Amino acid sequence: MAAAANSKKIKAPKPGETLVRMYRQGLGDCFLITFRGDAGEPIHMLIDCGVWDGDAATVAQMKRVVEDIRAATDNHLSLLICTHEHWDHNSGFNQQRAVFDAMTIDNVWLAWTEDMKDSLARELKTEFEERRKKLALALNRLSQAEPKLGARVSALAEVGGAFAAAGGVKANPADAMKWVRDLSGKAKREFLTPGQVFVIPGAANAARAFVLGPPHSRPFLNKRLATKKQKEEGEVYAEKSDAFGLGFANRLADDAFFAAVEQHGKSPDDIRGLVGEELDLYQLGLPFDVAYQKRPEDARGGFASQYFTDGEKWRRVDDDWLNTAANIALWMDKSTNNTSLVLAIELLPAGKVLLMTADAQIGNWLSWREVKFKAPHDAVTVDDLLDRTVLYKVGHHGSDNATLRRDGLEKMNHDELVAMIPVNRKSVDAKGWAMPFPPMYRDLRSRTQGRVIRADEGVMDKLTSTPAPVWKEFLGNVEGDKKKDVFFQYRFRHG
Amino acid sequence: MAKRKGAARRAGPASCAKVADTPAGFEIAAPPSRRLRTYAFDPTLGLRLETAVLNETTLKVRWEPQLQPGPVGEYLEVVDHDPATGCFYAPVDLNHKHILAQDGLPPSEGNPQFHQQMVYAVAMTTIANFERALGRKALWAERKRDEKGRDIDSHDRRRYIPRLRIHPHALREANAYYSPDKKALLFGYFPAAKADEPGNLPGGIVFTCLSHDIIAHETTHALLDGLHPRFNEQSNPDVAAFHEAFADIVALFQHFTFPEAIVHQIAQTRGDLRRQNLLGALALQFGQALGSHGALRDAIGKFNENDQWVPHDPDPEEYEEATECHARGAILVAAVFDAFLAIYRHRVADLLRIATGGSGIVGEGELHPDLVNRLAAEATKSARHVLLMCIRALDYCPPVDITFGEYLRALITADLDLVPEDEHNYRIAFIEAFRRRGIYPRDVRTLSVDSLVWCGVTESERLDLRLILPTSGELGSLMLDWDLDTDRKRIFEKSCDNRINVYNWIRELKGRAFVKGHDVARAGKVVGLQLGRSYIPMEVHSVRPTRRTSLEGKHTVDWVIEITQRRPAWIDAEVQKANEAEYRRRPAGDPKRPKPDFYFRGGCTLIIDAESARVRYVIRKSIDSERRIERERAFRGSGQSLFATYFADPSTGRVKEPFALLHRSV
Repeated sequence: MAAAANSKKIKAPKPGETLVRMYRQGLGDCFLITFRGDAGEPIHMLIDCGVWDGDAATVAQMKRVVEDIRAATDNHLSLLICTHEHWDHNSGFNQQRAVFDAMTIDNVWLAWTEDMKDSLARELKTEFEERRKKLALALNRLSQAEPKLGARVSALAEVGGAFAAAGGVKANPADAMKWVRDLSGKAKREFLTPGQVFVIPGAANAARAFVLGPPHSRPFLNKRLATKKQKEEGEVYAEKSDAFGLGFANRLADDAFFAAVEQHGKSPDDIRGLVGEELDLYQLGLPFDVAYQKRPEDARGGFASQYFTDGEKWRRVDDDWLNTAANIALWMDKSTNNTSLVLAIELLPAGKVLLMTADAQIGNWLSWREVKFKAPHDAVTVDDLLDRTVLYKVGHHGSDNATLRRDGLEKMNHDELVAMIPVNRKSVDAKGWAMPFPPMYRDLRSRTQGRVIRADEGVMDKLTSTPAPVWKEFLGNVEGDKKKDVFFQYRFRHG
Repeated sequence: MAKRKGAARRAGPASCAKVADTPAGFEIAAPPSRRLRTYAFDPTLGLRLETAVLNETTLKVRWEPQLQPGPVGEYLEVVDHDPATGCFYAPVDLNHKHILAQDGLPPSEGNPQFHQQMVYAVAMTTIANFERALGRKALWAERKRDEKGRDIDSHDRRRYIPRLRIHPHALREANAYYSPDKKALLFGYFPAAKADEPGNLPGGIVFTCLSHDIIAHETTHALLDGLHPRFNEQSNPDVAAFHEAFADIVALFQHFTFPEAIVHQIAQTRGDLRRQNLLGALALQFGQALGSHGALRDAIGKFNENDQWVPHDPDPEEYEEATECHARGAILVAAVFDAFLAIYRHRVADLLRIATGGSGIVGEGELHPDLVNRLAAEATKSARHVLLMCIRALDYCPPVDITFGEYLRALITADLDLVPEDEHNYRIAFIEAFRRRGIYPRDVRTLSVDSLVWCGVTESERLDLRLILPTSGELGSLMLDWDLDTDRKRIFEKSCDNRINVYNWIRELKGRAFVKGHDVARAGKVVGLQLGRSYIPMEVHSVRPTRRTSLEGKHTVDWVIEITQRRPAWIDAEVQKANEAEYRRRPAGDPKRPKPDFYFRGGCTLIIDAESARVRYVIRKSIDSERRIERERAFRGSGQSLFATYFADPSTGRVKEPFALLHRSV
């Protein structure tokens, strides 16, 4: 198959029009937004480029997608945005590094969490990296003991070799993010903080971006979501106890767990070799004096022989303690999702909004309510932006905890609202994930009058209640063939 | 040791005169119990001077003549493997004469053998409470799948689990849980998080296996699973909450039966008696010991700025609003606790009047020790009654999909069957407490004892039921000797046979009735079943005896028979119609048979008089209830925990350790 045979350069949109192209690389985000530039030229903004799976077909598809981006933008991005450090949002920058290296990139936007001059960002990064390294070791052991669970957790934690697949590129979201950060050598780089408002470089007349998240404050980052108020019926789709877990529950306990992982598997000879302070330190990690310890060999033939009986293997608990790693991994994954850069892109002059939320979890959404924009935009509120939203890029592939209900979706009241879901049925089915989450999806369908476009399946069925002219107009703005194209594209009119 | 055991075995009835080591013709009877020391709360209390005295208690544990080092007994086997460290800890031999002579090892955090002793003693105490309440021996949940994950046939003897395993040091996290797959309790240990909590050394190790309440809580999960395995399936917001709440109720009230703690608290609080705050404060301490582990927390009340315990005003709307399972469970615990307080108040009212010359106002100074002891005796007695009442109600619960309201009905019916004359108004206390917390059964008109008691059947329904239920002759042929003296393996085997018999009778009757043209479907409806549809299989879930006292004061036996069914169900009601029809058309194993989103379960618990075969109560969860399936759809659609979302097995939707999950923060 010829790579992206139908790829062609995107012409400048007509005045008062903006194009949003959702790529179909698999489970992951990659959005190309094309504005009409101030001089009438096309101005391209790329938000993320990544895919979760690493099988040969997916990697080949990613190659076609990046080829399309190259051709569509004529090798020139005015603005590149990477919302957060997750492989399903930035794998493309590694997998197709050469193509991106050859592109002209004028501007790079990142969340403040990537700004290593920011002390809070630095702290978070250091903590995170430290944990990630220790977790890798634990997950290694978990994978040996329980390959299935281990693989799933490793994939989530993005630490293992789970993605070292046919494409030959190992998952390394940190490295991909580093490449984006280092574009500062050739592009103008901005770190964005909530409350800021930016014009789109080169398209000041077409649009501007309001920064909503992630929140910049340690207390807020540490704030856990499990309060009763936030769990009240209707505020959220699914109640999850912790959606903004950058604060770790009991660091001492986690460290003790990691220490146990490090010591696990040390042979009795290693331990016998310890003397003096080394022995003291080793003992500190133990619950009891070594005198109480019995070797498994002694237990096998004697007091705990039932534990080793062949028929009783199913009752052993040798590896259950490693499941703690899954919990820590989950916590870390949610934390990173919550560092997502969230932009409300206001299209001018009509004031319609494209809401690009990346993978923001509920905590990130809630923090928007605290955001104050600087003059002359100080009258703009988050409710106002939600009310004017005409595109909701559905958060976190439609998962249950990345779309706020009462103060989110239920405030998107615009009668032209369209939703795009970067999801892939085959990929999520294999993982058993409910994406898109059915109750959220139902509401999404009714809010948008059925105007939902999925990356894998394209335009969804019309609702019986949707008037024919509305549906016809919607279809008229969609471009992209499910069989032929690597994207679906929608044309927004805001003149 | 071994020698004496061997000698004892040889000493059969023929040679009973010759018992080794005893003077001829004189045999020393085995003691009824073994005394074992444990922490009353957990080790942290011992570090505070004012509580140090009440932190040790001596439990009287049933004497097990065959107890092996471990301890390994009839019900439990403690296997002290610490997999993270890669070692075992030497097992304690509770029959060692030095240990026997001092009521077990003294409480110690640093000696793993004491840990083994404590988990054994507390778990055995919990088991004994269950057996006392239910009047029969406890069985653990059956093993449902073999090593390769294949289902084990329902009458396969491999399903029998003689002993629950306890691993006191299996985990390295702030967690402890019951594993339904491994039939084991796993306890963790971890460094304490903060130094500012009294008793916690910064970085000092906290052992979850040294908390009475955590051990009792986890053992209760296992016992409840043995009795009601389907309560593992979260089909409405109350089910998981019930598991947690029930485990807390048992831990809490079992704790109140230890006189040491109660006496100490009553003596300490002196004139505060009228406010009855001591028991609440004590309950709160239990809650703190459980930490995020328990449902208890501050649902009962909390300490104000002056360090006085103030009760939490019940708010009926909480039950409506709280959806997270611990928060919801806390409401049930609080309701039962309220009932307990009312019962206690009622029982001590006369004592207080006597002690205060009728004024009810307690004078200055210390309470008279006699009064303290009498009050404590009433408190422990009330606690024991509430504990046994709560456990006994389990026989009167529906087999699936329990709600708190149904549990209230079970409580009331069970108590009415045991104590026909409610002298101390226990039942009123329970109804009042549940009402104040907003817990109502869905389908009763008024909150009175009469209307809360489970319904029987009408005469015409009785005729219908004759088509499908076993006759008195058939019931008479079931094995009934499942009491406190029967061998548990035999109980298991006979109970399997009983289930198969009942199943076959119902099937044969159904067939016969069908031939005669009777309306089997109608009869099924009486007990909430859909009979005559092959795609909805039927399972006789349990057949067990339960004891009651008749109005004349006679002790009689009822059969508790649980029959369940499952129906394929889909989250979307529209999809349901089309898919269920298609599902019905295609045989099992057909790859084109639509895969259900979940199985909707229904069925009934029947309480049947063993002698007359008369159906006394029908506790029904109709399999064809549209309202109930709609509720379950809404509940299932509203999401699961993050852990389940990410790590459940995609092919089955099962999470490996459901209880581990409930006890974690994520």
